Amino acid sequence: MDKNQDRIDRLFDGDLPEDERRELERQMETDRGLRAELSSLNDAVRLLEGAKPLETPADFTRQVMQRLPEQRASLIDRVRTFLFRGRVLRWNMATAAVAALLLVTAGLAIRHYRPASVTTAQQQTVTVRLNFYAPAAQRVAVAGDFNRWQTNANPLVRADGGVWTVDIRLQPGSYSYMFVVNGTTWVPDPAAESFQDDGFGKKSAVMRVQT
Amino acid sequence: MSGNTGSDDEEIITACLQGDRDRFSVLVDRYKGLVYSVAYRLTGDQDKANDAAQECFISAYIHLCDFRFGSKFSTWLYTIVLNKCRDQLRQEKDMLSVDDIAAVRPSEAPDPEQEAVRREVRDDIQRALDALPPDYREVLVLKHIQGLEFQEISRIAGASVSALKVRAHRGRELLRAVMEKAGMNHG
Repeated sequence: MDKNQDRIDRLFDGDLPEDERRELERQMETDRGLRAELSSLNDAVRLLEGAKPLETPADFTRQVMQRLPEQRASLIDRVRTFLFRGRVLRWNMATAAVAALLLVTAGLAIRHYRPASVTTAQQQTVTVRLNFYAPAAQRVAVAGDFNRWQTNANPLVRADGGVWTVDIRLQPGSYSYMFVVNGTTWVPDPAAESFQDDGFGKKSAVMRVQT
Repeated sequence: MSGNTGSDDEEIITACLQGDRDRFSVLVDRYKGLVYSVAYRLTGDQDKANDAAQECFISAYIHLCDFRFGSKFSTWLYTIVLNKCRDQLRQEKDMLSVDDIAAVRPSEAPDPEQEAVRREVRDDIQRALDALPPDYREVLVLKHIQGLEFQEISRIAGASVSALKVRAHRGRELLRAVMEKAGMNHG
């Protein structure tokens, strides 16, 4: 690509460093063709950037609210939300004292407890290894319903040959997940056993964990 | 847009998920301008934009439990409305063209007066955007009208940043050509 054309494109993308911008401006002073090129593109971009906010049709919110389904969230959703939503706890001294007492009591109980056998839940956890080929990636993580779609809870480690890998412990069940490349790009696992539509034109990978 | 925070949105989403349906109206009020503007710029028609924007909020409400906490609600809405507009444009393409219908049923041709009013409402920007292929229109609207970064557009449009930059370059070139042809350039 022509050097100046590349610079013009990067200028409008917002990617042109200051020194290159100044050099482009210097060239424009003597190059009439370049000046005309930049000016007409500038007109096009300014036209878009000058777009005034549009007025939403009257009564829009009421119409949307009327069309919403009546159903309340299911019990499972409410429990899930209660357990996983972010929240700020506000304590008063009495509540804090009770909580501290409970913690001490529970700590003592755990210290003196000798289990007869390992619990069933622990026995049922399975280690799953996920591999993802991404030689150019700077970092890769896996996000899924098992970690509440957090993008930094389960990072993959770079192995040989551009392959990234991670071991995660999961209880038996079906999980949807995606790899997150460089913290921003969501990619379904190409090696997944199946995929499911997320309802918005994208697909999540699905894995089934069995004992 | 107001000075609301992501955590404020998440608090409302949490309330909705726990069954407080009415709180969703706060999110609709907050984001309706953004959603409707994008829908109008992509479809080029007020009625279609209204439909797509309403459908966007209804889908968001129905699938609220799939919202990824920690991400921006506006990014999620952009994704949904973009897909609604894509569906609408795809359906139009599958249907008979207006000329085909008019040839068979001339009595149902649009009222010229109504058409004139409708055309007048369209600004220069919309007339220029309407002339572009949908892929180019999407990236120009999100980048230069909505002012989003390519990284965010990549999440919304499901395309790589490099592919989007190519579309933006070509889209700007085409837009310039359209404007020159229509005598819209200023200098």
